Amino acid sequence: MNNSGAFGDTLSGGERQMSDVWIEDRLEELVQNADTDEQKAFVRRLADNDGPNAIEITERGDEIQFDGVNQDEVRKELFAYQDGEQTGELASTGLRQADPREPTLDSVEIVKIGNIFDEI
Amino acid sequence: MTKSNLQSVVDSERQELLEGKDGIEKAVITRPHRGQTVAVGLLALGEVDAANEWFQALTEEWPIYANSKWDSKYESEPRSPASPGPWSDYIDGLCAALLARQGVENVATTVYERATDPFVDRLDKREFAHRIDLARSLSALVLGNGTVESHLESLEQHVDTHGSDWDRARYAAYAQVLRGLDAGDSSDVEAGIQGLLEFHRDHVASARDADAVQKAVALDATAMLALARREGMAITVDDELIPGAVNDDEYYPIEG
Repeated sequence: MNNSGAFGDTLSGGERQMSDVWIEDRLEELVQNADTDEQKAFVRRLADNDGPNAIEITERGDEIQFDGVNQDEVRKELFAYQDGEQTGELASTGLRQADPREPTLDSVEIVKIGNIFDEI
Repeated sequence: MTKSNLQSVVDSERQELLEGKDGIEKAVITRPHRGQTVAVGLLALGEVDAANEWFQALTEEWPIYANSKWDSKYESEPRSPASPGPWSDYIDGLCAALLARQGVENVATTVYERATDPFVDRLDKREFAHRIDLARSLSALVLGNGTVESHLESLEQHVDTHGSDWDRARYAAYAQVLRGLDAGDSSDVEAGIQGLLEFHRDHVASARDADAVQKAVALDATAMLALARREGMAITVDDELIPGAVNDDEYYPIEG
C-alpha cells in the first residue's frame, strides 16, 4: 500500500493514517488494483463472511466492486521499524531518506486483518 | 512532473485498464479511480477528444459505483456511519460529467436524491462528513433548485465546528465558487477557483500518496471552471494546474 503522508500532508480528505477513512481508502485501492486471478482471490478472501469478513464487495461481471470496510473486523496496530543503518540515530535515518522510491520509516503501512492467507 | 513522465503514467494505466477489455466502458467498470487518472491525464496532455471518451465512460460508471456502495452501507440496518461513505464518488461523478459535458443533470439528480435522503442526517458521524454537504451544494447548483445557500451554510457550520485545516482550505473555496455562481458574481467565482488552486498547492501537490496526474492537475479547480462556463460565466483561468482546453471555447464553450 502506498504512503498517505502519516507525518506530512495527506491526500485522501485530510484523514490521518489509521483513521476509518484512511483504512477504507487503502483497501479500496487494493481492490481497484486487483488485476490478476490471484489478486482477485485474495480480495474475495478478505470479503469472505466465513473468514476475515473485512470488506464488503459485489461482483459485476468479472470485476470486483469495493463497497466498504467492516470496521469492526479490522484491528489497528501501530508498527514502527528502522530501515536505515544502525547509527545510533535510530529513526531519523529513515525519515531523512530523500528518494521517494526508497522505503522510509513512514512508507510502510499495515492494516492487519487476521490470518487472511489461509486457504489461498 | 515533465510532460513525458505524465504521458508515461497515462499510457501505462490506460494499457493496463484496457487489457482484455472490449472498450473504455468495460475498462472502467469497478475501477473509476484509475479511469479518472487516465481521463484527467489525457486532458492535461491536450488529448481532449481521447480524454472526453474516458470522461463519458466515467459519467456512466461513477454513479453506478457510488450507488453500489450506498446500497451496501445504507439500504439495511444497521446503517454504516456517514463517513466514510460514497460521497466523494458522487462528487467525482459530477466532475466527470462536467468535464465530459454530458449527463450533468442526470448525475446531479442522482447525487441530490441520495445525499438528501432523510436518514442521511441521522447517520453516525454525520457532522464529520463534509462531502455530503458539498455533494448537496454542487448538485443543487446544477439543478437550480434554490437550495444551494442552505446547503452551503450547513457545510460551513460543520467545517467550522469539526473541520481540519485541510477542510477549511478546500470547502471555503468551494463555497465561494458556488455562491458566486448562484449570485452570478464572476469575481467571487474566480477568487474561489484561485482558492481551490491554493488548496491544491498546499495539500495535494505535496501529498506523498498523490500520483503524477493528481499532482499535475487541480481537479477541483478544473471542474469548477468547467461548471462556471457551463453556467454561462465568461471566465478563463490560466494556470499550469488547469488544463488549457478548459479555457477553450472549442471544447468548453460558454453556454447560455
